[in-house]
Amino acid sequence: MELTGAQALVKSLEMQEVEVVFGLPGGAILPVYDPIIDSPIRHILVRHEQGAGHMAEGYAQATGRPGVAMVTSGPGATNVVTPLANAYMDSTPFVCITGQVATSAIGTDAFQESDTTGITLGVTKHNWLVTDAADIPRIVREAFHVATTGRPGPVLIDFPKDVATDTMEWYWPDSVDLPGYHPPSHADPSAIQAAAALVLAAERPVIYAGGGILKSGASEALRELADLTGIPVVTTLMARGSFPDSHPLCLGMPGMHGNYTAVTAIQKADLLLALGSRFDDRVTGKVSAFAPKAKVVHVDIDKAEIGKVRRPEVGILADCRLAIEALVEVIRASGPVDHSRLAPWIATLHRWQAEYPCTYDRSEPGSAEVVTGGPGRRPTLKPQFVIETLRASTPPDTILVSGVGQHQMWASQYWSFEYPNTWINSGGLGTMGFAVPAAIGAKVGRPDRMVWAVDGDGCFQMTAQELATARAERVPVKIAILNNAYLGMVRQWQHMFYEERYSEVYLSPDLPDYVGWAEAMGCVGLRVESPEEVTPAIEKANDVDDRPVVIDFRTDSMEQVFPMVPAGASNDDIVVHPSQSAPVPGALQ
Amino acid sequence: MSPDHRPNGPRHRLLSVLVENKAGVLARVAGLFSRRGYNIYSLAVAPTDDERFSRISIVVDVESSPLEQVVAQLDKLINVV
Repeated sequence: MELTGAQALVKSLEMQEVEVVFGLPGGAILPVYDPIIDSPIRHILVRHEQGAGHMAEGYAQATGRPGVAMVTSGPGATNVVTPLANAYMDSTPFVCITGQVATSAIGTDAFQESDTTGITLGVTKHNWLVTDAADIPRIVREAFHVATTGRPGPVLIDFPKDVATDTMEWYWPDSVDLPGYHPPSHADPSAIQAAAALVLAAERPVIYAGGGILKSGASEALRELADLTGIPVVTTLMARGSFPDSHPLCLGMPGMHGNYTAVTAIQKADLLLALGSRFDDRVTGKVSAFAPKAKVVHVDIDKAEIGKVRRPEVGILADCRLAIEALVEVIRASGPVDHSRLAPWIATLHRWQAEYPCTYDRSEPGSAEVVTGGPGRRPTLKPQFVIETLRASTPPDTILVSGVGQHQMWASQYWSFEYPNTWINSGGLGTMGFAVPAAIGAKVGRPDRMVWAVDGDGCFQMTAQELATARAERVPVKIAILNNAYLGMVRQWQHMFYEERYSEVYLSPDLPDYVGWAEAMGCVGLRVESPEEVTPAIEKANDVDDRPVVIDFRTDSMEQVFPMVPAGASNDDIVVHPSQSAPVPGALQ
Repeated sequence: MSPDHRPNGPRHRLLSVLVENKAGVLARVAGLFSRRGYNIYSLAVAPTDDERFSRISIVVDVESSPLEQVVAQLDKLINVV
C-alpha cells in the first residue's frame, strides 16, 4: 500500500493508539493536517503552541499514556520548547511532532526555519529529523518506545515538508532496534537483600517517595511496603497522591515548603528509602546537612540519578514497582515484622504532627480569630481556606492541577490527595502558566473526572488564552484563581530576604477583569471576595458541565507560605508559622 | 603545561565511547558535556570495523567533571551503545 509521508505519519500515530493530538497547523506541517481530517484521532486546536505542549503533558499525567502535540516549524517549534523542557524535568511521556522546511531548504535560513533538533537537544530524551518517508513508521515506533519506557520523557520528531509529500510503501515494524537503549527492569536480588537487612534493622526509617512511584505504577506496592514494615512515608511534590494522605503513615510533603514533620523526619532518620526520587535541591536544602544520620537506599530507573547528589549505601537500578515488590517479598519471607521497634519513632512523629501542623490565621465565619482587613472591613479571604473548602466541596478523585508559586505550595499542603495521578503540576522546571492548558489536557484524557485548576493571577495571565480552546472543544475545566494581585512567591522572597523592597511584583487585582476575561472566552466567570461566598461559588461551578468556569478569588495579598526552609539553608533551620513556637534546633524530642 | 595536564596524567581520563554512526551524534555528545559543565581536554572521532558504529575518544578533566556522572549521562544518550 503506497502512502504519502503525511498519511504514514497519521497512520503510525493510529497504530500507537493515539486518541488525541493537541496542535496548531502552519506552512511546514500543512500536508499532515490533510489526512488528520479522515483520521479517528481527535485533534484539539490550541491558541498557542505552548498550550498544546502543556495539554499533552496534562493528558499524559492524568492518563499515564503519552501525550501528543503537533505544531509547525520555526516559531511553532520554538513555542513548544518550554513544554518539552518541563516534561524533561518531570519525566512526562510526551511525543512532539514539528513541521520542518523541505530537506533541500534546511540550512538556508528559509522562511520559518529553525534548527529544531539542535534547539531541543538538551530538553528531550531523544529527537529525530526524518529525512526519508520510508523511515516514518520505524521512527514513530521508536519515539513512542523511548518516551514511555525507562525514565519516561519528551521526544521530538522533526518532519520536513517534502518528506510529508513523498510516498512510501506502508509497513509497521514489529519491534524496535535501538542498540544503545536498554531500560532497566528487575532489581539485582543481592541489592534487594541488602536493602531488606537495612529496613529490618532501622529504628527511625522514612520512605522518601518520589515521582517514580507514579511513573512505574507502584502506588499499590508502596502501600504494601508501608503496611508490612510500618515505615512512615513522605511524598514529594511530584509524588503527592502516590500514597494516600489519609493513611496513618503518610507524613505529607518534605522540602522547602514541606510540613515540619516530613522535613524533620528525614533530618532525624537513620534510614532513608528513596524510591523514585532524585534528591532535588528543593527537597534537600543544603545537601551536606540533609538527613545527616541516615543510611540511604536509593531505587531509581535512571543510573545517573543514583549517587548524583547523595551516595547511597545501597543503590538499586530498577523499575520502582518491581524493586518494591521484590523488597516486600524478601521482607515477608524473613518472617513476621516487629512493628514495636518503631513505636518510639512513630510516637515522636505524632507529637510533631500535633505540635507543628501546617497552619494559617483563620478568617472563615465562626473561627475563633477572625482576621479582618482593618476596622469595619470584612474578613480577609485566606488562600488556604479556599483550597480547604474546594477539597471539601469536590469528589475525592478530583484531579487538581496547579501553576507555579505560592498557590502551588498551598495546594500541595492543604489538599488531601487520596489517589495516584490526581495531582498535576510543574515541579522541576517551575513553569508559570502550566495550569490552564494542563488542566484542559487532563480533562480531555479523563472526561469522567472533575478537573479543577488552582492558579495564581500571574500564572493565569500567561496561558489563559487556552480557555477559548476549552470552550470551543467543550472541555469543562474549572479554574480557581487565587488572586492576590502579586507575583506572590517573588513578593514573599522580597519580603523575607530583600528588606520588603518590592520590585516589579504588583499586578493589580482588577487588571485584567478576570470575570470579564472568562466571559469573553465563553466561560462562566464568578468573583468571590469574602469567606462566606466561597462554598456557594464552588457549588455553582461544580454544577456547570457544558463550559469552563473561572472563579476570581480575591485573597489576602500579604499571606506567606509556611513552613519555609530558606534557600541554601539546612532543613534543620525550618521556619514554621509565626503562631507556632520555634522548634529547638537539633533536638530529637 | 604542567605534568598534570598530560592526557594520561592524574587529572585526565580517556573515555572510549561507541556510538551509532548517525547524523548529529557528535553534537549530542559534545552538547552533553557543555550542558552539564563537564570539561573536554581532547576529542577524536573514528570509524570502526562495523560501519554502523563510530568510536569517540574523549579525554576528560576528572578534577572538574565527576567521572561517574559523565559516564552515566553519556550512557543515557540513545545513540551511545
